[in-house]
Amino acid sequence: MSIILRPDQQRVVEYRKGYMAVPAVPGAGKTTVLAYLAADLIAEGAPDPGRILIVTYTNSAVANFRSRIGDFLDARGYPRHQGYEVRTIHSLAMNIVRERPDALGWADTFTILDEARLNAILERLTLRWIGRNRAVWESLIKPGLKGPIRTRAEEQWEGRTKDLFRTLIQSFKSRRISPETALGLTRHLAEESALRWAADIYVEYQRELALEGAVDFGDLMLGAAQLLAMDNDLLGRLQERWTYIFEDEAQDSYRLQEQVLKLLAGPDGNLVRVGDANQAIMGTFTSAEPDLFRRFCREASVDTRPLTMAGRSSPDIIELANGLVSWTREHHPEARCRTALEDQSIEPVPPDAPFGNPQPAGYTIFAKTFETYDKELNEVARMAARSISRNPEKTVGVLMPTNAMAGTIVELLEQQGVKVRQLGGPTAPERQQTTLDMLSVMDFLAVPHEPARLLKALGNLMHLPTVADAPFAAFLAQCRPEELFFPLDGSKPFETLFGACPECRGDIALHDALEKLRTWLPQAIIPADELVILLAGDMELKGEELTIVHHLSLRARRLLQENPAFGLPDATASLAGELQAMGRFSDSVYDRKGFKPLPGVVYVATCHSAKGLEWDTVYVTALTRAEYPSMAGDKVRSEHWFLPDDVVNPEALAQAELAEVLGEDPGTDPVSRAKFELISERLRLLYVAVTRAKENLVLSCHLEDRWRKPGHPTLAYTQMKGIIDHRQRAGRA
Amino acid sequence: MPTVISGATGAGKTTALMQRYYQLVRGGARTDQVLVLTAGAAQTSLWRRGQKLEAHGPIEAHSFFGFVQRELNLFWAPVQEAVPALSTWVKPEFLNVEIAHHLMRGLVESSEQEFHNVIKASPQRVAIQIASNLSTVSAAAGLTPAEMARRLALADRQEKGRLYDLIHGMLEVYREQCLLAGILDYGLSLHLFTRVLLEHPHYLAHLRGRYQYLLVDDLDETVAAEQDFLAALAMQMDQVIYAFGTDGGHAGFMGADKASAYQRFVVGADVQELPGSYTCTPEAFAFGEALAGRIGSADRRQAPRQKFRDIVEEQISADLRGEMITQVVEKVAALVDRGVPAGEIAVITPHVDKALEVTARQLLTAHHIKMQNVSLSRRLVDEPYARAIITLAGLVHPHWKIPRDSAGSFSNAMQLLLKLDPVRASLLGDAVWRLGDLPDLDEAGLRRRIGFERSEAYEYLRNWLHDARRKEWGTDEFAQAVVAEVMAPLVGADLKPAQLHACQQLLISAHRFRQAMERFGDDAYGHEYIKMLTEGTVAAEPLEAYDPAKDAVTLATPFAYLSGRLTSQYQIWVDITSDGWYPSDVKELANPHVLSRRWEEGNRWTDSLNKKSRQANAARTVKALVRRCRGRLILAECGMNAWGMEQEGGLAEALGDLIREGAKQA
Repeated sequence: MSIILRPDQQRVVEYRKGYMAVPAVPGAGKTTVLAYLAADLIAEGAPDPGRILIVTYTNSAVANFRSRIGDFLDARGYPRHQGYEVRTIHSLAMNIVRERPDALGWADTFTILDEARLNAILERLTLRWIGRNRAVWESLIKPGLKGPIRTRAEEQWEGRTKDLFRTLIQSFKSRRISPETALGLTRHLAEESALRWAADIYVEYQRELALEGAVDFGDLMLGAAQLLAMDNDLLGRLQERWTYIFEDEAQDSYRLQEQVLKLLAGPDGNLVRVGDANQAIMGTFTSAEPDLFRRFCREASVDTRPLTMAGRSSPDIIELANGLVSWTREHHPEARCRTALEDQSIEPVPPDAPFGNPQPAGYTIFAKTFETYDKELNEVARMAARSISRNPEKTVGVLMPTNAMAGTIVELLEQQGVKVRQLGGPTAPERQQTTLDMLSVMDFLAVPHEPARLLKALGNLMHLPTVADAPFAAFLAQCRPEELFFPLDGSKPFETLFGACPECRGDIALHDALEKLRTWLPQAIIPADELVILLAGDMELKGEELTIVHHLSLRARRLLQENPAFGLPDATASLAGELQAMGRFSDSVYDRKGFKPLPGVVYVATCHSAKGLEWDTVYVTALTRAEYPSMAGDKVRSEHWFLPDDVVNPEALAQAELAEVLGEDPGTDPVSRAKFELISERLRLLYVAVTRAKENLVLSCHLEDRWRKPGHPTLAYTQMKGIIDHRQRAGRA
Repeated sequence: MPTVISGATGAGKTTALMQRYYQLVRGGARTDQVLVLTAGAAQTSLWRRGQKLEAHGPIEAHSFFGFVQRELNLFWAPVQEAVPALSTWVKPEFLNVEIAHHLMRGLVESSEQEFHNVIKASPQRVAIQIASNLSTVSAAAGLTPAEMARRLALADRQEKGRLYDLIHGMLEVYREQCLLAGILDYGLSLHLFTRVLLEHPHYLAHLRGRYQYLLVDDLDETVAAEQDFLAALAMQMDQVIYAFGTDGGHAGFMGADKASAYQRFVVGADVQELPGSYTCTPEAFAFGEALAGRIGSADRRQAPRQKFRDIVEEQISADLRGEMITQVVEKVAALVDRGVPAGEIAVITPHVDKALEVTARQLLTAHHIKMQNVSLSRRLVDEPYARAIITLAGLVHPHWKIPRDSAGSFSNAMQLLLKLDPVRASLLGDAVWRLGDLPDLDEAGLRRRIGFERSEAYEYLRNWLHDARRKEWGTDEFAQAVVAEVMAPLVGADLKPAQLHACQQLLISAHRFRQAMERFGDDAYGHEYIKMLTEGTVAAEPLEAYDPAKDAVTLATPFAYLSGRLTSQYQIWVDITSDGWYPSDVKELANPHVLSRRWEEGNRWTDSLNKKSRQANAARTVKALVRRCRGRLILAECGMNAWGMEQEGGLAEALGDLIREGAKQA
């Protein structure tokens, strides 16, 4: 596999040692360039006797890298897998910790809490804490609220308090503050201080985890950082193993991650960090800190070699994206937002480049303002459907601000008979099907005398879209399952059903499913983890499905270890609560070979989950100030309507307090600062969304939201619409 | 001068030692004059079969711990003289490991907060480490709890110093309580044997009167305390013969000290080397050496001197673990089709999880191939009939507060005890759970649904339970009554041997628990035992011990395979990219290396030492495995582990260069 490198790419692949930053515009081909560089270095023996470590964000990115590096090595006559390792950051942290869990005081059988369990623990601890401290907790709510409004405020405040605790616990960890230290640092703070509350919860939370021998992802990173910092031998050994460190998506890094990678590289080592500060969009819900990469690019000892050319998008789309950048930097009415985007322009590739920028006929960017939210979504769905039907060989993406809105548009598209796939939201139903099938069977086997469970299990085993419509449904809903499966009168099993539903007798799939359930029933007294595997074997599951069920079995085993008295009903109920985590596992399994949008399918995603992807046609929707706040007066989610102005954003206040107790500069007016950071991040999100498009781009917004309240387009939309309208007029002239 | 029969795995050391034994006996020695010490119960039973002898007296073959227990029993009086706290008890009671863990857990829970400020481990795991890894290993090394705590504190980071003080205190309390109760765990037994009995002025002389010959197998697996005993006894013997495995020492995590054994007994002895191995080919032997060398090598980019293309028959590589397991089973089936007996095939993996075990068994059964799992570990609480007994115990004693979050346990009990189908059992179980008792069938409207035939059995059970509530039971009595008065009449011949075996285990386990608790003067033993059971700490032993002669594929961890001294024509090494192939002996609290005699107090346990120890474990294991392979290897790997994380490295790196064509030369 040989490629012709552009001049900016050529500069990057000439790297041989030291610290290098590669700020890369969207579509610059950074994966290809990094892979090429890695293959060059390996072919020259540069990493020997160690290897290159490449750290990236997702399993599919890992797969992409492996595939590209493998191809380049193959072309150079080297084994595909030699000389490098590719890891997600969590997998790397896991690797490091597993070298010496004893040194950290961790059981070598430690488990990592997933989201669902983490949330369940935090919810329980939060409610318990609120119960013990109700007066002070309630005292933060606006005094004037009464009746149902007051009730709603308390309900929301409960949920937000849990989220607040979660964020602050991660902040403690990312600054390497232990629970005891957190307690000590916060005792002098006012009773109403959320930071002080969070320190209390932190102690209990860590205790719960320790009792289970469990850690969360924050602990994993912290553990890795601690090990490297306290054990020079281990650090030295890992530095010998990984003689080059490459980091992709460095703009999403957070301080612990950066510390780990810098420790591994060593001050005189080899570290290449690739990222785009203008695509830093993870900060408001993770510990990511966009400024870290910017600062890295400016360090004196870092050689910065930007990738400024991109062949992904048409010149018109590039011009629009650059226009967004320059407007933000020069004209954004909020001065504090003018640094939201770095001063970097995307350049189209040279005309003689082998894969030039797309050149669609005419100006194919549009901005449409709709009266209402419903009209906007309906029209966007219609346009996307038409786009697919007219150009089935092209790819289409629809980008929404939230998963909930994405779900709405998915339904609209499905109603139009379009093939849809939702990204980043809840796991696609077909990927959860194996888990759901298994759980419904276990649910029935756990309590087989309940007809509703029987029906559900049958529906899943037979893959019926709606079991209630099946001819046997009416009978089974009212039947006595014991007479169906184990008749006492000497008749054959299932005769009661076939008597009531003669046409069911010829249904082979029904027979097969009933027979399977009958065979499984007596075996259901074995432990749940064994039962699951047994069922998988009988269902003849293979490949991804079998792997998913194996994972379900592992989870069942863990539940049984923590609760030895659990029977099948208890285990099944608990596993049902882990469905979301099973979904994430299913995604990682199905996406392990990488992900690329396919033609003929409309992909619906939030702008966040669209990162790294591209489509021929992209619709960016709901560009309102409600979703993309523009000004200091706009509402933002982190400000709570039920709290007074001085505490309206308790997280921002708590973060400022944390900085203060640590002796850092808390800055002035943390609430405003937090708001401007959010506005800035939304601008970057918009930049990401716009740069997903290759040929055609449609921006849209609405003037009345789904609750019939008047809304306004976000300022950036208005600005871009101005550019678009001007170009369209010029095109017609 | 002692004789040492030295050799690698499969060289025939045990056979040679046995031949010496027969020579001694045929030469006129009585069997009770020859003391044979072995590595464990399985090896002891080989000796005690005493074949090839026409007539003989008792065969004095023991594991060291078995010998210690017997001697303490025999010489209890002098021990009592030296330790007045023991004076109350006519004989010692030996604490089994589960009860030891349970007692220790109670102590750990009272200091939970302190532990969990520093470590992340469940109270049960902490208790196991203290009661087993720390107490046992330090006693095996001849260390007191104070010495143990000091060494560990100095070797580890500062924050754990406080924990080790706490552990020291707990062990002292625990030991004191045990002594007052006349109950001895492994650590106490060793302590009393080595520091009281052996130091008694007449004991060694007495031993000299009993034994004239000393034979020791698996010298490389002996702990320091045993080595002290051997050193003292050997001086008194007419003849001493040791068998020493040059590639052994697999029980290092439990205190086995091979290096010390070598220094103390092999150096300066009359060494008879047994060359090679009867259990593997010369090529495999060389491969094992080369692989072990690669594992410890600083620079794996050095081209190996030799390529071993024939030793590995096939390499299975799959993306997903499920695919890997399926391909492994297909390979097994293909081998059997080719005429390889199933019993000559071993599937060896660092962790035998249910996915592997159950899937493999299912798929092999479909090919009419049997499998036996050497590393089987089940909990007694998972055995259905044991659960049924627990469920009934909860119904008879509601104040025992046995956990029951759902009707599941009641449904299962009804299914088993009344021989009901699962649906009717669920119906009835649900009614029992809601009421907290067995309802009147007519009042509950269930008689017709359950069926008249089983109604009688139900009435019997119901009446029995109501009668049982009239007294307060100890768990062992209750279990006995359930088996005799409920299961026997209701289940009868349908109670399969494996199920009856589980019930018997519960009986025995409960009985031992009661005996132990009575010693502590604790009368809460009824529900306390149930608590221990429902915590999952009591293991279930399989009905049938592993039978190497059975024509079934062996599934084992490397340690289980080697401990069982198994050999196979084909070994399938599974999950070779897993770091489980480089096991660490070091836990968050217990470090057997720091507790060994050769450790210098004050030294720190470093990453370099840790890495060397893991490499040494891996090298020793693979060498020993290869030496037990009479044919070829199959290697299996997968790219993603069971938790969805990428998996690279492990043994694959060291192996790759040895067997891969066209590897890049340095």
